[in-house]
Amino acid sequence: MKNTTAPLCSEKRSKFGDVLVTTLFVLIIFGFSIAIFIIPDKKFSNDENRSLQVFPTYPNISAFTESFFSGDFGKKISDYYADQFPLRDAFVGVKAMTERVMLEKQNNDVIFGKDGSLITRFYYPDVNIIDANIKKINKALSGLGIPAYICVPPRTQDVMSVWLPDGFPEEPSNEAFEALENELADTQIKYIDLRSALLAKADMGEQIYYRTDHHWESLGAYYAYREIADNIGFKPKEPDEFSVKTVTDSFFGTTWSKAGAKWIKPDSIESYEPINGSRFEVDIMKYRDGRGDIARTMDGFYDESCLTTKDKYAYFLSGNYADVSIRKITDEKRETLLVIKDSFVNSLVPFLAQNYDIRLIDPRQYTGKISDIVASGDYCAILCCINMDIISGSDVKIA
Amino acid sequence: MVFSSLEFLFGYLPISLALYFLVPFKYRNFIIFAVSLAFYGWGEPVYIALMAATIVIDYTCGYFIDKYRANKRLAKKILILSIVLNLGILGFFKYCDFFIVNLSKIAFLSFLKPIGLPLPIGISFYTFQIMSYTIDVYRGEGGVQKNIISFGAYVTLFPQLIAGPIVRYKDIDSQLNSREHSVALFADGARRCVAGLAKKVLLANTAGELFKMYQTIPSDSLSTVGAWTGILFYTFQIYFDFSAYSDMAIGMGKMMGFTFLENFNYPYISKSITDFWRRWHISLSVWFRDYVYIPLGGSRKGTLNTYRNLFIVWFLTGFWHGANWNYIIWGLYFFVLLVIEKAFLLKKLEKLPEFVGHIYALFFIIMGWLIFVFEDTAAGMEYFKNMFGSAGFINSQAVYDLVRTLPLLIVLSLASTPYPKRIYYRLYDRFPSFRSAAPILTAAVLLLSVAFLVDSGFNPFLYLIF
Repeated sequence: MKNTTAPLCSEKRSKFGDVLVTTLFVLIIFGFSIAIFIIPDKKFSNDENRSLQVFPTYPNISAFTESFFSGDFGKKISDYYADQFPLRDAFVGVKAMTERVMLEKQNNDVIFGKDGSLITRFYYPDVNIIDANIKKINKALSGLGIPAYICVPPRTQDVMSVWLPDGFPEEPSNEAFEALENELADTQIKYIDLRSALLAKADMGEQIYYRTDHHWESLGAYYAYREIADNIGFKPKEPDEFSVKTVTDSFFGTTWSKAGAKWIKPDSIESYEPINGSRFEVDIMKYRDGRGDIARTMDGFYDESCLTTKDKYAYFLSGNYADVSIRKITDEKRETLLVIKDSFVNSLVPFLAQNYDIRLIDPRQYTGKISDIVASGDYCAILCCINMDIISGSDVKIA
Repeated sequence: MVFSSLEFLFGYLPISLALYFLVPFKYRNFIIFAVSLAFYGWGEPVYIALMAATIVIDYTCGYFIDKYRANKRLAKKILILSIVLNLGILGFFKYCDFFIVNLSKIAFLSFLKPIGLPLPIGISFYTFQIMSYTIDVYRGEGGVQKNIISFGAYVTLFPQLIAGPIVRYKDIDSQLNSREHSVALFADGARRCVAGLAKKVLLANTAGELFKMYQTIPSDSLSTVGAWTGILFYTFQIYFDFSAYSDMAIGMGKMMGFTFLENFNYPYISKSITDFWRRWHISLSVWFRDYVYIPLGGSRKGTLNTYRNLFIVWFLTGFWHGANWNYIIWGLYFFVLLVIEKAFLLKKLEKLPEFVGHIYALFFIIMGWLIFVFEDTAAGMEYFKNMFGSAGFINSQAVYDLVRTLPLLIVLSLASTPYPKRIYYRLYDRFPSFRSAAPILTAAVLLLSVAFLVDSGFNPFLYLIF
């Protein structure tokens, strides 16, 4: 074989080329190095909805020494470069474009779906995680003297098969829900199957999930509400009993941020208000030293101020809190439903609240026991509504 | 710090290069020594002390070996002392827990508990490198280095400190004292460095993420096609990862006027396992040949001794890669294959069409990586069964993920052959316009690699564990 590692032959070597390569290399390496320090640090990334690492500073030399020798300083510098790199957004976009050019159907585990959708890809579930979570939920919710229900909002991949690329494997979704149902069969909790109902709607061509976010749209939440009504046994409001309004058409959600697919168009968010003029109050609780106080009371379900931020899904109930109570402003006596929730429930509440007063507990933030809540209040039933991403992918903290 | 990180490329590297070129030549080794220590200490500052001790020990031993050269027995004693100390340090930091864990399985030793020391970065590489110094001095193949700064620069030389190539002292002896710097060399170095970065960031990391994805598939859903695709991605990951590091090392060495020997020569176009080991991690094979195999007598003392020597070399090669049984098995696996080839297979293969040799070699290389990648041998066995159909031949996931990554697989396969470089040279030789455009291409590849780096926090460097 020819010696392939020999340098470029000298007679053909272009002096101009050598100078140009050297210049470009030095310019790029030094240019970005200087730019990152000159450009003022950004404290927050809207696209990612998180704080960024700024250049680490220390009050005195011993604090620095300690940080340096523990490796903490190195970690912070590494994060600093990752978070503050010049033209970061453009680079992320270039990466996504490259994947697309390579005919790759996903980037950073987000699928480039049909109709401009961006869908988080989930692989085969870890059945043990599902088992452990259901066991914990069952332990916390059973034997409390009131009926317990569970519904698991599917992930976009589980229902929007119309958006998925051709030949997309269904087994991972199916296996997750099979494992869920198998495990629930041994419990006293009644399972409300949302996936079949939502799949049917999606297959009929209805857009029930956001294209650029992992949540369901208000319409999807409405169909889930009907399914819950059928199972618990109350009469749901009909679609014509709501007035629907598009409150924003510039919503770029979580999957958009992750995919770096800058060519995708934004989503819109719809609000549903009952036409009978019912009004609702939302109390957000704050806990300090185990004691809860009302931190804030919202007039209605929607927080308009969130529509001007990146995280526009927080329009529903102003985001996620440990403990939230929703009441209809009325003299009539209403039953109260205890809901163990995640963020999917935020857009479900405007519907459920038409039939019940609601207490929402978010187990990711609430540290007390469910049995204590049930003992100290008057609840007609418990509904656990935590989406499949959490049930199959993380440790649900519930007691 | 790893080369393929933003803080290296846009912090450490420009500062080091600027310091290096701003000072007159006689201070440049000192700059190399200083910035290399900073590079080494970045992750684990306390280990700088370990590095300093190692340098002092071997500097001193080298000095006295040279001084008492006339007294063969004394010189040999000093050499043995330095070897024992170096291997002792390596053994303590890298292999202590392995022995503790295995000994604690014996009933009356069950009280033994692993120490859990973090492995000093690159210790396997630089220990071998530094041992070559005292041995070369003893053999008279390399001159003694009287300047401790230059000696420190040799040991810590940041381009190849943590993942090779393992530079033998005799290969670099004269370069330490005088070397050339030029725009042409710097340009070659920059080209090589960018090529390495692209291999690591665009190819190895992407392949690595895909292999990781295949590893998450439960064994009852991993079809034959899926399992083979997965291990194929690992096969590409480890080659592009490791050879990229050598490319960047060679490239940065060139920028500073050093010439390191090549470490990889398209290993996946091998026609036999013997051929593979002449092309894979060449500096390690050469080290074992020069410092273990030949001193043991090599192949000159009869068939039986030859096999014994090969056994020792391959056991050590495996064990060098990691303190775990799977690495030992991996080394001995190659011992068996190489012995079979030596005994008769190579001659048989020569008579067969070339493609038979390629397929044979690739098959056993891939099976080797299977042993290599699973430290948990039970998990490795599961994967092995999946490769041969324990969960069916094919399923929709395997088809879907194979189709979507097919263009990448084609790129990876082509990039494993000499063709891209040959085409590049041909274009370069034939078209003056390409000669002018090539630098733009290099810059574009550099920026694209930066885009991938910025995009992803996923940047584990495989060879950091050694």
